Amino acid sequence: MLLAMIKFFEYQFVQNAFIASVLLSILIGLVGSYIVARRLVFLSGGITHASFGGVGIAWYLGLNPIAGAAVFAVLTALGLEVLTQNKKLREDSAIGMLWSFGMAIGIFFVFLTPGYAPNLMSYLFGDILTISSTDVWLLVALSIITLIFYAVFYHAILFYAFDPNYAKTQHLPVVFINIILKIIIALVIVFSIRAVGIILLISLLTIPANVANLFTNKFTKIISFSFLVSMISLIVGIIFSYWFNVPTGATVVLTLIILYLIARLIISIRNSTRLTKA
Amino acid sequence: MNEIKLVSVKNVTAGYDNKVVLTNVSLDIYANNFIGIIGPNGGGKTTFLRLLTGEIKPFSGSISFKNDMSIGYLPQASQIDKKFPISVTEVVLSGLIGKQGLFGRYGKNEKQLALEYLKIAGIENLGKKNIGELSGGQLQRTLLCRALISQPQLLILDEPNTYVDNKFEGELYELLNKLNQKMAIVIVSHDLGTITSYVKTIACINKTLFYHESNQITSEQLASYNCPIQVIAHGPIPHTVLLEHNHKH
Repeated sequence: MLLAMIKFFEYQFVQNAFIASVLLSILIGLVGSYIVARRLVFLSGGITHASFGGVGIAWYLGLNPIAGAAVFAVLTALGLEVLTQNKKLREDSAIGMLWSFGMAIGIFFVFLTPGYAPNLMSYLFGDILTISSTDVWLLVALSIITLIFYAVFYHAILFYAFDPNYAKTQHLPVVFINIILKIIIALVIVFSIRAVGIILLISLLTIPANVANLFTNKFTKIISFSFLVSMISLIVGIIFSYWFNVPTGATVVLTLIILYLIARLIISIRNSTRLTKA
Repeated sequence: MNEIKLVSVKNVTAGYDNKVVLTNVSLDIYANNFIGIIGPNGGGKTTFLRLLTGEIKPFSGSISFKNDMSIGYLPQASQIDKKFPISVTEVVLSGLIGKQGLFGRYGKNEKQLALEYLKIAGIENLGKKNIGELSGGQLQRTLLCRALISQPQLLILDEPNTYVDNKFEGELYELLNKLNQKMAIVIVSHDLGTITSYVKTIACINKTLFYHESNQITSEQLASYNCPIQVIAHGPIPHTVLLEHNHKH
């Protein structure tokens, strides 16, 4: 058993998976907290699914599918801003359209591509063990950029997120903050595709911040707490993927749901003991 | 007399989605003004405030502001996301965002300043609370602190007396009287009876704006301004608010 463990950690792809899950958890902590606080869960789901269009086109052209997904994700994020400007189209409707549009493009090009596509499943359901060293370096870069952005603009981000209209009346460059944050969200989504897959990604953006929010209302604490929660779920995901050969995404989501239920249980026990004491 | 012109609204038409809400609105706001805005629901009161705060731009006409104009804005409490994870002190500090800018840091001095405003509003013990734990009145006080902390030249309040207990309402109007020595105030209210005893002038907004250079207004004048609002006087009123017109029966 011990030998198997040692051997397990000697594999380059296992090491990559662990480093990636630490970096991804940092990003999920920062971005997921913002998404949940600002109620952007549906929008994030839209960006996630629309990015499949990029996967499909890149697949057809023989390019890197993640690069294709990145282009589609960022274009969707920015496209939503343009479509909903002047309120010509309601935001949830615009999300619904781009969500299915991207998926349709993806399916279209995947079927145009000759031959069998066995790896395609990993984009839909996630396989954290396929993360390459290049992916890890890209994750390092994105993590550094995002951390610096949050550190420098922390209060501007928090105050903008709380009340964008007020920030606008105080002449804060709200368009700048909004666009940069949307691009970061799009890129974090793309890098999470490898780990949990397009279909289940929304849970990684939503559940850690909600678990954290059960215990604290402070934004910085929600960020660090959701980092921990997503870290636990990704590590469980790696272990199950390796030993039982099940898709990482499913394991991560089930772990997250279990963690959320445990958190709810802890809160209700705490509340009931408080009541009996009182 | 402080006759510095802060805002000049000229022949403005405005609305949303190409749907016109306000037509041909003109108003100058001076540094010593205390204007009460009244009018029916859907008449465009909030739209007018959004023009003043720069949240929306007019379809036509112009709005010009004095250089370096600063605005404090108290929105309707219903516009605030009460589930958002943010503390009372942080909300008050967010009022400084115009001065602190994108790179703003909020240290001891800023927090001390926030505490002073919380004291003025009588909620200094709530600083660490999350806004979700507040009552309607406490949230309004918090938002008022946010509007005041930057010491704006123009304070804009959108129905500050909804969700608020009578005690706070009285305190609020006394506070506004004091603040008016330092800043212009524009306040929207349903409660014509109370508002007119504190404001200096009245603007009726119903698709357009009629400016009334006095805080006393008769039902007939309201009718002539096409401003059908219910006139209900509440509680003890310091002085006659609504002039009775002389009936000749």
